[in-house]
Amino acid sequence: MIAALQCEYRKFFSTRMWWVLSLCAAGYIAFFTAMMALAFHFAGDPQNGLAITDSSWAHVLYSMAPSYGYVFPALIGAMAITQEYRHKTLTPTFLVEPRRSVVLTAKFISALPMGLAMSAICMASAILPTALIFGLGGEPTGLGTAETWGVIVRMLLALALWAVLGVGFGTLLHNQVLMIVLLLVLTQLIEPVAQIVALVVANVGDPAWWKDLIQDVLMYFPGAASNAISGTSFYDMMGMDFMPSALPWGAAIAVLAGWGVLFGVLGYLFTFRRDVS
Amino acid sequence: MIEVRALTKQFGSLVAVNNLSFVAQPGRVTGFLGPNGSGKTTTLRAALGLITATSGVVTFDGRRYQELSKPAAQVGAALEASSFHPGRTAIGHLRAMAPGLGVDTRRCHEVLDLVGLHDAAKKRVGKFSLGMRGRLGVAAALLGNPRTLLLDEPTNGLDPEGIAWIRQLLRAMAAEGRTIVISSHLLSEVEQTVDDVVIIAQGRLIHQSSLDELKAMDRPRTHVVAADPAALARLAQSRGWEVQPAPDGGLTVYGADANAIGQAAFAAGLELHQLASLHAGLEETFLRLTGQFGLGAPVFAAPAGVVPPGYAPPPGYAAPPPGYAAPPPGYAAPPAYVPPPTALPPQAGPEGGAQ
Repeated sequence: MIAALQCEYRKFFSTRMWWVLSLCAAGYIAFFTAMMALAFHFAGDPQNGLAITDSSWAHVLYSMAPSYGYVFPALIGAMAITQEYRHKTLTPTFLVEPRRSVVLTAKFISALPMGLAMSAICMASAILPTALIFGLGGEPTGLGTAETWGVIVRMLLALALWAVLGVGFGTLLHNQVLMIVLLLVLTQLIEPVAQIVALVVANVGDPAWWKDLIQDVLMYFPGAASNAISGTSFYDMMGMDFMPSALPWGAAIAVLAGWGVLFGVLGYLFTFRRDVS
Repeated sequence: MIEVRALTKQFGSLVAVNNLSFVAQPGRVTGFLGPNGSGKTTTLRAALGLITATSGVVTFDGRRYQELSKPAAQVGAALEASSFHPGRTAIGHLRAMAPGLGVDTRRCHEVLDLVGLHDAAKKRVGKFSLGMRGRLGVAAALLGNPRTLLLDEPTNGLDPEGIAWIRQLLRAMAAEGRTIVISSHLLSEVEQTVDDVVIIAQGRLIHQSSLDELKAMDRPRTHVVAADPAALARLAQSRGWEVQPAPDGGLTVYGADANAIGQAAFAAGLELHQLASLHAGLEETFLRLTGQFGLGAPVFAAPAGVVPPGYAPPPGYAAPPPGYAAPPPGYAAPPAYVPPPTALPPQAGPEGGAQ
């Protein structure tokens, strides 16, 4: 198993993917966080605008990383699988380690630290522009408080778990393009749409149990679980809080990791053991 | 030693490998031969646990690939040349395998030097030529200094220099007592390398012997048109030569060359109208065994015992086109026709050159 893990790390760092993805993640998150921080800064007018008096505004900016950046650790995890299918490198991989369960387990385990590293890049890309803009503008960044760092650690954890989910997703689909598209569709389209439907249904009429039912189901979706771990969602703060019910964050960790493992087990049973030709 | 025992692999209704059994001995290079699509790659992949056999088993010194510890260090395999991440360097590819074989980075550089990729170690594989990929594949196979080597079409894409290099390398490794199997769809490509041959077609074993025994099966054949064919047939039989009627009304005599037949006919006072040697090289023996009849063999019945019962040539070859079965009236073979000394192209194209 140690050898298999070593192989995974060497595969990971021997292509350009890791630093290209890191640069993309850093640029993307830093840009949007900076835009948003500037918007807050200039809207923060004591007379008629936002009153940015506590660090919860900074927390919202930090949450840009898990809200928009989750796809990067997910890609780190998923591409450990999909790249092997795409470039037919499963042949050397399985020649070196013919026990496929060992290969898959190594991919899951190695995804955690690599996902964590990517998550740290994502968080730093949200924290640095916020600290710079709010620091110069005189708004509280909360970076001196343990509470803020607690929030940051939770966001880091939420992000890193997406790498595990990514491995599972990649195992199940193993088509790189399909995997990325489905991941985005599921988290960016299906989840929000379902949340809006829940809201509309609840406001339309009596059957409040409909809303409860939909919300109870949605709680267990990866996006909702991720939000539950990080605690502060960008959507929440923008007044788009359709989801009053959320899992406790410990349970949410189990749910998010559980999705990854479930996908991985299904992928192992149905595709990963197939013939490689 | 590699033992393939009753290996069968079915893909849906297609039987790619059909009850195949053979043995590759240590200290010898075994050529695993057959036309494209005959099941060679499927057999090798099944041996390496990459595909699951429908039935049967392949063992390396008595154990299945999956049962070996650090299997890639005991059995080195080079399959098709496309199993590389194009963005990974040559050394990066080998280093990503090294921990599973228990070898260090120094050894990775060693094998790159060995296959002549020293200067390309830090080059990305995407920029490699087909021949360089082939060499990198061989380097990966050699990485763990394995006792057994399986190489699938190792000469593909190699220049003549590369083919000579791999010949020497494999001869040297066999001399050290290793078991080596190389597959090819062209016997001529590996003729100078192999000691033994295993020939398959349509997933079945057609022939297994040493190369020398295969060469011994190559008997001279001569096309003869005589004024009195019956008399010539009697003469040939009295000399112990086998005779078959040829489609143009002449005879094909096996086991005697034109000189011997001309002399015998002259001594017996028989009148000959045509006498021509039909060259049968090793490749032709190979094609005959795998059911691909060359132009030099209009009608040929394989000697008894060579073709296992139940074997049928592929559908396309079972029935020759009408032009072969019944030549147009007035047709006569060109009198002085002698096929070129070797029926083999000096250098075949990368793929399907012999098809």
